[in-house]
Amino acid sequence: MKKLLVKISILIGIVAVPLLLCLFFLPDPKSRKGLDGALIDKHILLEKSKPATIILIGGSNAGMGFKTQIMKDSLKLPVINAAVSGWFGLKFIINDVKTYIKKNDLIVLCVPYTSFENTTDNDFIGNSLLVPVLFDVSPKAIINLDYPEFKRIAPFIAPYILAKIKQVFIKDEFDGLYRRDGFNQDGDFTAHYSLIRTLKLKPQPKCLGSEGLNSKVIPFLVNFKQYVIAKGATFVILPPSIQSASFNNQVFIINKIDSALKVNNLAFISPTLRYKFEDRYLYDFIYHLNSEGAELNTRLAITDLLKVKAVKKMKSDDTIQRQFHIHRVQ
Amino acid sequence: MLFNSIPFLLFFSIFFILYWILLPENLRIQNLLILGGSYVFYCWFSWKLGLIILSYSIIAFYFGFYIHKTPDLKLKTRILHIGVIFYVMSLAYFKYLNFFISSLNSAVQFSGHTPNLHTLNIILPLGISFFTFRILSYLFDIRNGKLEPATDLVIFLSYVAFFPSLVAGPIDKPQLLIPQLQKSRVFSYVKAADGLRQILWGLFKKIVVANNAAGVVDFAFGSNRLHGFVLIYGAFFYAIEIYADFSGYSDMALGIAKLLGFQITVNFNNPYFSQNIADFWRRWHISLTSWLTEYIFTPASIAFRDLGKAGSIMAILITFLVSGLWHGANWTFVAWGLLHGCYFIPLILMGKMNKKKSIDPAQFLPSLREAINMMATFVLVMFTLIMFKADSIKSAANTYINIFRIYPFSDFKVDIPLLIYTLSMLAIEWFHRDRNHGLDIARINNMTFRWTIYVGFVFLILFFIVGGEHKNNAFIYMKF
Repeated sequence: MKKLLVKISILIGIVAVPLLLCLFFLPDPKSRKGLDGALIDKHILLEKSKPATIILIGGSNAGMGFKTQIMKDSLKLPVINAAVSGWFGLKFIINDVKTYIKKNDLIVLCVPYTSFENTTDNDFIGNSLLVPVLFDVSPKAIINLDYPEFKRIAPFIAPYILAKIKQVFIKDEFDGLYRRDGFNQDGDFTAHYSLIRTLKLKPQPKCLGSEGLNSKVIPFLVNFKQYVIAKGATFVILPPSIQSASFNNQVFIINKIDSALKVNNLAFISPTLRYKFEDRYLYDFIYHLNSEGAELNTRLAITDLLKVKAVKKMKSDDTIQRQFHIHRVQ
Repeated sequence: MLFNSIPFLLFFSIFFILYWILLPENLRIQNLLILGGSYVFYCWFSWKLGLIILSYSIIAFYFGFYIHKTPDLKLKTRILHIGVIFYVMSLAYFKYLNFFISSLNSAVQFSGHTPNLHTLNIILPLGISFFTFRILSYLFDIRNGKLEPATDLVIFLSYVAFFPSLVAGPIDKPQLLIPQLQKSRVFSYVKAADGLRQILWGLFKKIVVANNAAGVVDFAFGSNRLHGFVLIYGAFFYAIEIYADFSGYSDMALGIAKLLGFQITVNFNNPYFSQNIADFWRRWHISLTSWLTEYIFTPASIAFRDLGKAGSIMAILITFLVSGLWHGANWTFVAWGLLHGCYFIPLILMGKMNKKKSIDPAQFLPSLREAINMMATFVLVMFTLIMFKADSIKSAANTYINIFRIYPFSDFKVDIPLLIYTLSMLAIEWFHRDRNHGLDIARINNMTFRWTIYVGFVFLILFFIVGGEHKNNAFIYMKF
């Protein structure tokens, strides 16, 4: 028996060791050129940021939703757009930014309403896109991985190893729109600004009245808020910009989210209604803004952020203002 | 729970540790574990199905007991008949009732009336044909005095539900399995290692060959517009798919049984190297062929012995009719069975049915005559499998017609990698035809070479599990 078990273990070892080596050490140039790779640049931006910075986090809606330069010019404060993709899941998005939070920072969360819903756990836990992030782009994030997340991504690990090995033999150039170099120096996604939408956007369907909230989301956000406060920073939630027709169809669940956030002291900093956008401001998805949309959304956000106590404090703090001007001159 | 799935891997790993390491090598404990494991395995599909097999087994246990206890031969036979009727009717209910209703409706419609019978929503218990035949063979053998009934209910329940061969065979004879269940199993490294090699070989056949062949088959038969060589190509790969799928399953079943210290029925013996159709049936689904030979063909032959060769022809046609019906409730299976029966007619007329033709294992390649015989048998089987695959006789007829349509080379694209895997499988089996299975390589002394083969196979299988385009994990014969 012992002999058999030893031999089985050796066989498993011979097979598993090279696969694990490939998983952790084989480079993944395709992912690094894709959306996942943008996380590396966002981490650099966050690392370089000085205390008292406005950090925008969220999914692709936030990545495509702001013109940070306008925000900086208008608020006279440093702003970073750290949002990449909603496919990473709200949990990852938040855990990812945690280590970079400094005193007096303002963390602005802007995620699609689906992140709060119980229809799918994908928006909270993440999905296959998280695998290249964990095993190539940002391996440090593995520490934050818990069992539900691992369970979700486990089926994608083996195909990912295979995809990595394939890249060694077949050069697979990344040619999609959503790529790393589609982001500008502030972290805004701008690659689509010159492109015109060719397809009609399909609004989200009307709510049936049975939609509910993901019970894990609010407690998670409450914990995060406490963490941010403990670090001497501030956390606010900005309503996401959404297609007007979809907003009207989804108003039932949007109101439910709004109320739940209010009850838990996490209220949106502005009425959700303000962030309804006509189709002409949208690109390829009900949450993806085009250049004009991003500009409008930024101006709305600026007005709303100005009402936030932390922003007022940041603006009145001479040290912060001085630092901002020095930074700009540099 | 499928053999080629993660849940089974976990289940079997735990089972193996409990069976050989954690629990003492005690007969009672081993059998209780086999029984418990078998029911967990079966109830994984549906716990309700577990109740069916449990009740079936308990009823059979008492039938066996009363058949044996009754001294009067006529009464014995009567009890047997009641038992057989019960199991055949149950099988008919689950498997054939809807077929009967729809056939009746068609007949009514044909006569100009409106059919008003509705088919029922019946869930077919997995592997019902396999365990019903196992039970029937138990009852027949007790009646014929070939077998003492099991006195231990746990042993009998374990025999019926023995998980390595429960859902897709082999149909083990009680004389083979029950005595093994009556003795405590002792771990044998040689047997267990061979079992692992056979599982690996079965996985290769299923995941690398059968699953990839399924893609070609789906393409070829998925549209009625295809014709000519595409259909022949599809038919060739269907023959390969069904063989690799079913024999792959049987290899895994044998391997798993070996790991637990059992020897179950060998179900395949390189059927595509057969010299004629009788030879083919001695090598293909051996456990079913043996069952049908013992309980259908032999009694029928005896009954028709006065008719000479005509009697043999009638017996073979009845046997293959039952074989066809055993496979499923569809006229295509009936036609498939009868076609195979018809292929025996020339052999019966020439008196060659029982002549065994085997190629000397020392022979590197077959002679020209042997090769022609092998190819002719394969082509016959391959074309008949079109009937087996078709949804209806009409659809099979369309396929046969379309094969001879013009533009024979249209849409024809050879899948080179698949062809390599298939030819490799056949070549390995050819050169290992005197061995238990394709990976029976324990006699290779060079350990590095042997291990390179193992590792290579594991990587190849993993490659297709992970990246294969066709991930049809279910086995074709599980639906029977």
